Amino acid sequence: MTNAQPPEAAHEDIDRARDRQTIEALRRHHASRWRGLRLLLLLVGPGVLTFLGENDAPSMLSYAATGAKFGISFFLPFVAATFAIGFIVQEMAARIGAATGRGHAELILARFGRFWGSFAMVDLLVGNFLTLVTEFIGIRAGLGFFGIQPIVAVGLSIVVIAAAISTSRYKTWERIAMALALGNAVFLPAAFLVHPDPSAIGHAFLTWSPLPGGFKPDAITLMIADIGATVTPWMLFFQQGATADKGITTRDLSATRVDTMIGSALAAVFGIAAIVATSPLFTHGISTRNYQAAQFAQALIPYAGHLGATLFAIGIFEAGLVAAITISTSSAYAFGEVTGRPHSLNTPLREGLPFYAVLIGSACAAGGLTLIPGAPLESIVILVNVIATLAMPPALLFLLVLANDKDLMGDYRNRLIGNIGGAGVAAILVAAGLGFATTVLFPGLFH
Amino acid sequence: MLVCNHEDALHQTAMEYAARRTTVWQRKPVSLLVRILFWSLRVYVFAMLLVVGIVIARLAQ
Repeated sequence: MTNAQPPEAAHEDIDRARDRQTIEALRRHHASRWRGLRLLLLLVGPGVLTFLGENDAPSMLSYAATGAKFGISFFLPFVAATFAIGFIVQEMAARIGAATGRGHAELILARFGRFWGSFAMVDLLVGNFLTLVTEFIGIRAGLGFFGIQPIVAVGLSIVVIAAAISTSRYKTWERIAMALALGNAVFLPAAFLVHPDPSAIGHAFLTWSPLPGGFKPDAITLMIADIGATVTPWMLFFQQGATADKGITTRDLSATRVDTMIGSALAAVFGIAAIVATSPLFTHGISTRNYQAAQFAQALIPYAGHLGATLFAIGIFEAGLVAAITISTSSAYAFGEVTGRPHSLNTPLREGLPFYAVLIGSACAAGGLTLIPGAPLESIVILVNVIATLAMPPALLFLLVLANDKDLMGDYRNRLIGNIGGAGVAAILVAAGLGFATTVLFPGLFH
Repeated sequence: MLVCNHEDALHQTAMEYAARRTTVWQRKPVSLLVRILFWSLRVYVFAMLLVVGIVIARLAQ
């Protein structure tokens, strides 16, 4: 580690220092019993945003398809388990961000060289672009339920994304994104409106019933899509980048873990709510094979009423919008980190033009693609979570090597339990990918 | 005086963040095992993308 010349404090450093002073003042001067809560409210953000951002349009559609196709018996505990996996991985990313103050792509580039750094960035940008396309499909489908034209839906969303970054202040951007992300909670009332049987939900968690119909290709694809709804490469890049951008340090590690835990718990509850909301379609034997968001909402009207269907449609729109904000930000972080340009949401617009251009440009390109008549959008939606799961093992390997890097992490490097957890997650993901490949290449084995 | 202290503290904290931001990390020597793992996972991703391509081709039909 070297520091070639005395550093000069940039605008982004001063903004972070201001936020830090607020936090330290609260730590020093306030002895009230609400101090812990107030401190937590100042420090939460990256973890909650990462997980609620990942409860995105294709993820909620995967959950909806899961509930409609297989009910709740197998998939409720399965989805809860995937969020536990997500926590293990994201805690490492946040810890690296807090210990180094640097983004994920930046560290890959510095420690493994330009080849692997560029590879990681290209992987991420391609995956992110495909995912962004699906977010805009969700946005237009969710708002389409209310009769809003696709071009208006896409345009409106891009205006919201631009408004969130227009203040050039991470703190403001985070608050706007958090306020929108908590809208993911609309899946809860949608689930209650289908009058679920609490004893059946309790039974599903306690017994973890076998998969109805066994491990057929459709079920395996949905399982992998549900894993991809919880652990994806962009989450690593985003949470580490946002942790660094927020100015989180190792003093805040406990709060950062709580932030990640709250995020994974909220996302698990809302994801499970989406499965419960669409489970009546399974109970009544309704085929949802080619459903998109609007059709799911329409199909729910007899079981959840117009209010339940409306909430479901709003939820899909909200999920797409929040994910579009976080995913385009993760692309911009990675681009700035690898190219050595300013990459902070605290950077003034003029200084950070390339960073903001990637952020808005990727959203505009993805949104624009969904407006092309005849584009094969359905196939992208089905496969984007699967692709995310398949691309995850290399990202995990970089994460594990960085988390064990003594020079970078010092006393905060991974312990044995963290390495066992990380290697276990990588093994599960590789096995899931190989299982998926087997169903595709040898479909006869599963009939 | 208080204002001055506040400004000094702010400046010092900003400098600490600047130092974190501008620290240069040297390239890490990667062991042969890790190198093999990197490449095998790359091949894995490439093979999996081919599988996804097959799925898309089937869906298109």
